[in-house]
Amino acid sequence: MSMKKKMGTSILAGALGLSLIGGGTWAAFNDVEDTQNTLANGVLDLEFGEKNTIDFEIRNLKPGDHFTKTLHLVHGDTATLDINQILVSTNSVEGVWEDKDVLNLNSEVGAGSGDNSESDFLSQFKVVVSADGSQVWSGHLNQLVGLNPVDITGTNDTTAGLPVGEEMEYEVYIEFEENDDRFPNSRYFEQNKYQGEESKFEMSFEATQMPGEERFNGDDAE
Amino acid sequence: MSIKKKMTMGALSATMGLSLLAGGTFALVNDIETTEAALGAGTLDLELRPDGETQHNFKLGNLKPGDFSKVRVDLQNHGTLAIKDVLLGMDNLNFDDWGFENNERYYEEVPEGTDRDVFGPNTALEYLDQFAITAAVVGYEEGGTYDKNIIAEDISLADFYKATSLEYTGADKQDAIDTVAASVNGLSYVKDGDANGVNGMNVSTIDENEWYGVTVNPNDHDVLELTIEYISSEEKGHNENSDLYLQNKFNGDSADFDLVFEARQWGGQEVTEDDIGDGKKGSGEDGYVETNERANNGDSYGPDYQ
Repeated sequence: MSMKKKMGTSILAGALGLSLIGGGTWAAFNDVEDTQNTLANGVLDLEFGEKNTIDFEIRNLKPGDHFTKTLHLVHGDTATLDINQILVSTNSVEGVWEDKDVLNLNSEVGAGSGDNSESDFLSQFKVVVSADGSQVWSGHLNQLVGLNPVDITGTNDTTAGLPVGEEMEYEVYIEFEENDDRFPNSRYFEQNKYQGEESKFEMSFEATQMPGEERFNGDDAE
Repeated sequence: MSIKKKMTMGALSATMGLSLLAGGTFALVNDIETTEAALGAGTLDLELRPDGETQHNFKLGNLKPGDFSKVRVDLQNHGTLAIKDVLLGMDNLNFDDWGFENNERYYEEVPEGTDRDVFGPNTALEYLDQFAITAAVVGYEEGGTYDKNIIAEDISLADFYKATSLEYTGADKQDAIDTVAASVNGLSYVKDGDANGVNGMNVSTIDENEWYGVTVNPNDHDVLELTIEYISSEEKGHNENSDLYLQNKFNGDSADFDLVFEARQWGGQEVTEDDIGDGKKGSGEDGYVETNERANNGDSYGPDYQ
């Protein structure tokens, strides 16, 4: 279900043997003390939770059809670091979409009537994202695809958007909107130009770490 | 050994305040999860075919009152989405008033001296009003017989044209819509909002079963029989002559027009796992919404018939 991509955990077990030599070379007395030092890196690990259904493929849709999917983001089992922000970017998968004119609108209605871009196609799909029943974003798919990464935690640079132990769940409602506009002087609906077309897109969720901070002895030490 | 010289230990307080920046300047950590999603639109594609040997369009010449003609049209679904209904309408009317052009005598068509008893000026709508159209679904649903279902009988072609064409915008359009709607059997007349909308007579099946409309699954055909009759009228008074039939003025007139079949989709539905993949196209893993091939997949049967 979810592609699991683990960050390698590099554990730096740093035992620093510091030789503290008291006195100079002439002295016969000396004393030696050690400090045991440990540096251990945390693990930042974002995963899709079991309720996640955002990896959908739905074909043979008609205008008016709609469905609701769940975006469920959790920490991996070994995660120890809070996640600051989750940046979403959506990109079209090359080689899937092609402009089709199933009904020959270019000759039936007029040149160009059957033409549209992938972005036009995606603009037919309304998207409403909500959390706990209240809407957090709405727009159309074409606004998401190709956009620069957007944070979905709603937190600033210094607040944990997804602290360890918490999870994030969004309802994503997608509707192939019905549009009853017809071509001028024609019985054909304009949306006919989208018949038989398909788009595939990849959604990427990037979890970022919290900013560096001063740490004190004993913090989280094992 | 007397002098005890204490070496002061450079007491190195070995409390090392190590600022361990997790991340910090030497490393940034992040994690990226990706997922793919795909959306595909289906196709709604009505094809008309002749049924058997007959033509599926009317080409009639040299008509006289009382003549009639039947054609059979096979309505086929060549798409991937079930068709809810097929609205029949008329458009692109071209009329030729024999012997007249814009209500003026047109001598090139009918030479001077021709007997005025046998032709006269009239409008396209007066001409169409001499014809009546009857529509019946006679076709087989696959795998069984189907009783002939008369949708509409003897509707004036003029009223039908006024009611259903996009190009007619006369003030009596609404009256024509009401007239046609009243003479269409049962639930088959579809009014799209008001007189400015698109109106038509549903000529696909409306029995509330899995054959409703023109489905993809089960594989449906609807065969429509259309009859156009040149109604004979015994009314007299052509050229104010009480011996001449009024219909004389239509001699030589001709009209051509399109009968337009508009296939419509079912309403939108909420797509769930249950709608995807009964094995019709692929195993369901490709996300094909199988129920969109079937009747009654979105809204309930015929909600907008009036």
